[in-house]
This record gives sequence, C-alpha cells and structure tokens, in this order.
Amino acid sequence: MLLLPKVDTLKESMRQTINEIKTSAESSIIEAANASKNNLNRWRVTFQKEKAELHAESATKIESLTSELKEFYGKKENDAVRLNEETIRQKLEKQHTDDFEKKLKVERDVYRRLEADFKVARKLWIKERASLKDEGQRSMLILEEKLKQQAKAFEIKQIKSQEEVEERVSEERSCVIVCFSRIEVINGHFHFMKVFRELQEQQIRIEDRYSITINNLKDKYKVNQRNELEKEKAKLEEKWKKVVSKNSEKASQELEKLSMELENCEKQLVGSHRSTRSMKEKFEASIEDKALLEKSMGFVQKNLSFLHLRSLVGYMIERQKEKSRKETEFANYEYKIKVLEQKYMEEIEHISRGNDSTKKESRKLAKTLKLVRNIIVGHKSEDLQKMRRRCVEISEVLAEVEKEGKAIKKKRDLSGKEIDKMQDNLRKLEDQIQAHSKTSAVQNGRINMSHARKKRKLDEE
Amino acid sequence: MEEIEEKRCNFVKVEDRLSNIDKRKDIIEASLKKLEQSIVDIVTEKQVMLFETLGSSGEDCIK
Repeated sequence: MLLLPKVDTLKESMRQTINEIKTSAESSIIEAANASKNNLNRWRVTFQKEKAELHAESATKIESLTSELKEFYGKKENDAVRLNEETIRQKLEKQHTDDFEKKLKVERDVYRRLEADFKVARKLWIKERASLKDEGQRSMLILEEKLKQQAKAFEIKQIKSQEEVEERVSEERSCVIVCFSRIEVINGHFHFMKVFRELQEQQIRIEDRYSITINNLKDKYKVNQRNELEKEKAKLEEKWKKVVSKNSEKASQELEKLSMELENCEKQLVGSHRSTRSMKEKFEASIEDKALLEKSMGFVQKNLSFLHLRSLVGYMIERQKEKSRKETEFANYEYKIKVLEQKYMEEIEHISRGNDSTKKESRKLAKTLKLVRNIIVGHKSEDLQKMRRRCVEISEVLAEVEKEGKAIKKKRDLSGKEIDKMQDNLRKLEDQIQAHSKTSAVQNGRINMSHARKKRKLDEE
Repeated sequence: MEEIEEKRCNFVKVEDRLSNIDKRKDIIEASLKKLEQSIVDIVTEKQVMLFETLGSSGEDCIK
C-alpha cells in the first residue's frame, strides 16, 4: 500500500520527462528545418537574382554585339559593293567569324560561370543537408540514449509500465523518422529539381545556339576555304601558264635572236669566205698568201665555233636558271597548299571533336529522356488506363443512377401532389356532407327530394 | 380513400427505390474515390521515379 503512491509519482515524473523530451526534440527539429528552409530560400533568391542578372547582361551584350556586327557588316558590305573587291569581302567574313567566335566565347563563359555557381550552390546544399542530417542523427542518438536510460530505470522500478514505455519510444522514433524523411524529401527533391530543370533548359538553349552557330561557322569556313583554295589554284595555274608562255616566248625569241646572229655570222663568214676566195683567186699564185689565207680561214672557223659554243652555253645556263626558279616557285606553292590543307584538316578535326562532345551530351540527354518517357509511358500505364476506363464506366453508371433518381423524385413529387389534391377534395366533400347533414330533409312537413338526392350524390362521391 | 391508400403505397415504394438508389450512389462514389486514390498513388510513384532518374542524370551532367 505504501509503494502505490510512489509508483504513481514515478509514472507521472516519467510521463513529464518523456513529454519534455518529445517537445524539446520536436522544437529542435522544427527550428533546424525552419533555419535550413530559410537558408535555402535566401540562397535560392540570391541565386535566382544572380542568374537573372547574368542572363540580362549576356542578353544585352549579345544584342549589342549583334547590332554592332550587323551595322559593321552592313557598312562594310556597302563599301565592298561600291568597290567591287572580293578581298574586302573575305576580310569582312573573317571579322564576322571572329566576332561570332568572341560571342560564342562570351556565351561559353556565361555558361561556365552558371555551372560554377550551380556547383557551389550544390556543394552548399549538400553541406547543409549533411549538417542537418548530422544534427538530426545526433539528436536522435541523444534521444535514444535518454530514452534507453529512462526505460532501464523504469524497467527496474516498474515492470508493468514497460510496454507503455516501449510503445512511446516507438512512437517517438516514428515521429523523428517521419520528420527526417520530410526534411530530406523537401530539401532534396524540391529545390534540386527546380534548379536542375532551369539549368537543363538553359543548357539546351545554349547548346542549340552553339550548334547553330558552329554549323553556320563550319559551312562558312568550308565555303571560304574552298573558294580560297580554288582561287589560289586558279592563280597558280594562271601564273604557271604565264611563266611557261613567257619562258617559251623568251626561249623562242632568244633562239630566233641566236639563229639571226648565227645567220648574220654565217653571212659575214660567207662574205669573208668569198672575199678570201677572191683573195685566194687573186693571190693563188703566191704560196705564202695561201698559207696566210688558210690561217685566217682556220681562225675564222675557230671564232665561229667558239661563238656557237658560247651562245649554246649561255642559253643552257639561262634555261637551267629558269628551271631552278620555276622549281623553287612550284615548291613554294606546293608548301603553301600543304600548309592550307593541314590547317583545313585541323579545323575539320577540331569541329568534329566539338561535334563528338556535343553528340555525347546529346546521347546522355536522349538516354535520360528515354528513361523519362519509359517511366511516363510504360510504368503501370496499363493499370492506369484500366482504372481510368473503370472510372469512366462508374461515372456513366453514376450518371444513369442520378437520372433514375431524378425521375423517381419527379414521380414522388407528382404522386405527393396528387395525394395532397385528393386529400383536399376529400376534406371538401366531408365538409359538404357535414354541412348537408346539418340541414334537415323535412321542410314544412314534407320530405325534400332534392335534399335526399344531393345526400345520395355526396355519399356516392 | 382506397385510391389514396394505393397512391400512398406507391409513394412509399418510390421512396424505398429512392433510398436504394442513394445507397447505390454512395457505394459507387466510394469505389470512384478508391480508384481516384489508386490513380493518385500511381502518379505519385511515377513522379518519385522521375525525380530519381532526373536527379541521377543531373548529377552525371554536372560531373
């Protein structure tokens, strides 16, 4: 008997302590959740502001650049049309491509900045989530420890109240787990999905712009390169033809000159030969003169052969020099063509590499899209369709039932009205019968036949 | 009077039919609610799966 009040007091104290612990845990969890929500909201607002500012800046920059480029391009185009010079157009196209590349770089920088911001934000979010988790786990551990201690003490003191304590502990645990799960779900999916969707949309826009600009640049670059190569080829061919024609003309002219000189020499020699012959005829008699003449003839012949050899050697040297010059020019042109081809191939490789990376990204996105489509279209879609069909059928049955109900209600109302009318008529007849029964059938010592007839009629009615 | 009694009997029958129809209506509405709840459950399950897939793909993209 003495122990009973003590047990009651102990029970009450235990309840109070459990309630206090519960309220403190709930308040701490709610405070932590609110603080994290506030932090997340602040961060979200700042991030959205920064993002909007960056967007606005990039848009204004792009617009200004495009307007400037358009103006510049228009002015230059007009100049080019006026001057009708293809070189200026090529320069303009190069400038245009450079400006486009700059714009692309700016866009890429903006995208990288956004990516970096998103990474930083994601790190912060992960840290906050981890800290919240740690805090929650710590508080849960502390709670569990406290509860265990209390339960142990309670077990020692009161064996009967063990079941109640265990139930309360389980309730507390379930409450804490529900709170954690809610916090995780709220913190995890909601915010991350929003930010990720926005970033995905941005990425898709930037990728589209990037691909369009790259394709445009690629086409322009290819066309420019082809035109340049064709022009250079044509120029080289023209130069080659000119050089060949000039050289052939020069060679022919020089050959003609040499042949003329040779002919002149031959003529001179023939003249000198004739004069020597005449001299020979004149001074045939004298042997000394003959010998002199023979000597002079040999000298002239030697001179002739020497002149012929000299002219041949000079022609050959000039020919070799021209040949070497042409070979060097041809080698230079070949080297230039090779350099241009290498540049062109490098550019094509660079563009193909860029295309590969974008293709990989697009494949990844396509995979995720496929997954999403499978989830949307495939996951329990048959059950959903069946349920929807069943819903439609049930709603049709409901509509029919409602129609039936309305018709029966109408019937009920009509029958009620008819019953009321009939009851009114009955009352009137009863009143009339009562009124008629009050008047006597005998008047002045005679039976009133009309009264009797009326009574009969009323009774019948 | 007989006619009135007949009419009253008819009225009572009609009321019984009406109560039966109301019961049927309640049963059908309950089944409809159950179906709607199951549809909502499936849709939420789908949403959770979508969140999970998009979350993983997003992480891959960031990496």
